[in-house]
Amino acid sequence: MIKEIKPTVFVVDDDAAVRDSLRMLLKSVGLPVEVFESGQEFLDADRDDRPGCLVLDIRMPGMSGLELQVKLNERHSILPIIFITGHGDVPMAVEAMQAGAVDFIQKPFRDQDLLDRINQALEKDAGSRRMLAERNMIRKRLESLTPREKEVLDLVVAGKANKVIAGDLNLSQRTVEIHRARVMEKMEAHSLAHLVRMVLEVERVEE
Amino acid sequence: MKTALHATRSRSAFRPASPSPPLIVSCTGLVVAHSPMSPAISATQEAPPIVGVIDSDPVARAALKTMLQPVGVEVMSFDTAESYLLSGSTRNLACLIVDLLLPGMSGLELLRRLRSNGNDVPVILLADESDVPTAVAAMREGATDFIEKPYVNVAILKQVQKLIRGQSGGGVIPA
Repeated sequence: MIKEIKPTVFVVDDDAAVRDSLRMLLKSVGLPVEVFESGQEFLDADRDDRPGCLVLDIRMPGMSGLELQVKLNERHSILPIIFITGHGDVPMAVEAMQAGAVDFIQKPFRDQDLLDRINQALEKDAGSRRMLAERNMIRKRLESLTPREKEVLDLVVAGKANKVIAGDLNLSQRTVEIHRARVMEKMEAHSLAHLVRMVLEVERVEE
Repeated sequence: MKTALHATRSRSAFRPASPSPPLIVSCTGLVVAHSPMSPAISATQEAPPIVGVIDSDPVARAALKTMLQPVGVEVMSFDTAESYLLSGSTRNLACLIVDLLLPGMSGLELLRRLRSNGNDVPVILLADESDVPTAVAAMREGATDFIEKPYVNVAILKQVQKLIRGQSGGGVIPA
């Protein structure tokens, strides 16, 4: 978690000229770039959990860009995909977007357009990763609770007062207060609202 | 397989040309669509899902209504985005089918307005002579589907049935 891997723009295109020009373009603005000539080569390189984004040609011999997208979705990759295509049509664009692509650009495009969209995709990726990291942290804190503390937490989040919780769990009010304080401490919650927000954040995803 | 799907979407023309599915009236008096698609929503449940249709062309509205009613949904039609917004029925629709080019507020503007108000009703946009950038913009704004005219009824029916069964077909994968 501590060492930050610099986001990389991955390019998958079967056309060597396109790969070269994209590599030069991206390098010229200081973005790390790695190029691949096929979807399979990209899958084999295991880059799909790296921070960054994927610039993907839609029509390629062998595995098409859309097929690679399906494979990446199966791997639960969150890498944002920008499709580029020479001759895309509306149904193809819609299909790609429905499958979660962040963008779909037709050639010829202006370099600056592509760079703008790449930057948007990188921002989106960074945002998703921050969110995932935060959820993982909340989950770890939840796991550190004892079964009793977890019970108290559930009732606190449900909006019940200490007195009611004491009745529900057949404990003294003082004991509930102690558990509750421990929960706040272990969850590193600075307020009841913060605690509730953290729990909902994780539960919403697990539903 | 993909090419086949695209072909179906654009091959035949919308409206009377493509026949509405033959209807079968079951013994309980329920009208059931006889189509190759999954079974119609059972009308024995509570209120039927409501599908909103916004199109300035009365012929298109009528055609969509004729097509959608047999699958067990109620159709509410509007001629403009403004009349839909003023109707007060923006919250309880199963989905919205919206023509992209409306007089006044366009389909895309309506979509933006709904999303910025936190309304995530599934929106299927219909478009004459569209282009890839418009379709991509619509999907980025949160459209569930974007179907070109002339389209076949099947594409719309499929998406509506998917939506009223509660499985959203589009958008971004939750991170």
